[in-house]
Amino acid sequence: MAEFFDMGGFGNYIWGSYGFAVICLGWLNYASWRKAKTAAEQLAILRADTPAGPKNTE
Amino acid sequence: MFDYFANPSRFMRIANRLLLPLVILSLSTGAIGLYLGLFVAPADYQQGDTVRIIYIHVPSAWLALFGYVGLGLCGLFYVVWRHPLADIAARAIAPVGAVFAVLTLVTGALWGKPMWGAWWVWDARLTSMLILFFFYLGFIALANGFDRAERGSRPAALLALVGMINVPIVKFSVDWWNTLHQPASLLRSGGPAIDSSMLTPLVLTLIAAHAYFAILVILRMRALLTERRLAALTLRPGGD
Repeated sequence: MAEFFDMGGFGNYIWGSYGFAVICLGWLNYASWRKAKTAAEQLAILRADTPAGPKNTE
Repeated sequence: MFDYFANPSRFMRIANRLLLPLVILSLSTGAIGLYLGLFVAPADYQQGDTVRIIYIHVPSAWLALFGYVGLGLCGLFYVVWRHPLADIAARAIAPVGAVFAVLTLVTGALWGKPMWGAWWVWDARLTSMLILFFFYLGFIALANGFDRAERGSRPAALLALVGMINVPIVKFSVDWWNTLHQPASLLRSGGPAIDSSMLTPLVLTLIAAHAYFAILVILRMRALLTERRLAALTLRPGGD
């Protein structure tokens, strides 16, 4: 197993690449979900506060 | 057909239906591709195990580039037809493409150091990719640099169009100039120059990354459309 993680002596470079990818893509995923969720929640609150507002046509 | 999909509600209804299949596709191909790439594929006879960085570097580079093509096309549609959905799509693509461009540059540096002895060289491929990243940043800054979001749409779309000049430069830089970066291994005349034991995981991770990119863009488009609707409701007479 240690040999696998060592990757022929290049483990730092290889796992550094994968680690950075996980951080970047994970953050992007979280930020995108949060952005969509927050906007949907705000819209729901606004619609609840304004009963005469337009109905959701989706 | 363009008019049919240009309706934001209809487009999002179709896009939302695609989300789950895209998640399944991305997770399955990503898991199998990474398993094959990290555990099964052999080390390269010249580059050793560092070649395993290819399974994250190449998909990132493709998406940084394809993402910019998408951004440029959206810019064109917005400048010519002024369709708000093109603006929304461009705004959704830009941050995702920018992150993939950063990922390309960083994983490239982590691959370059053990192979070339340097984190960075002012090589045509690396420099043009850095410029691509700056175009993404420029788009994001212009699109969001105004008090009302719509005001930034046209200048940002024009910048996206100007940046399209850089796309063929990134792609063909390794052919046009003598570069330290290796030439194209996949999209080249004569077919891929990679052995199938490495090509299969690479193709799988490419599929996974494309599906992941699409998921993120759909989510961001959904958020941006909801934000626009919120703004319209808030500004509406009688609204809050």
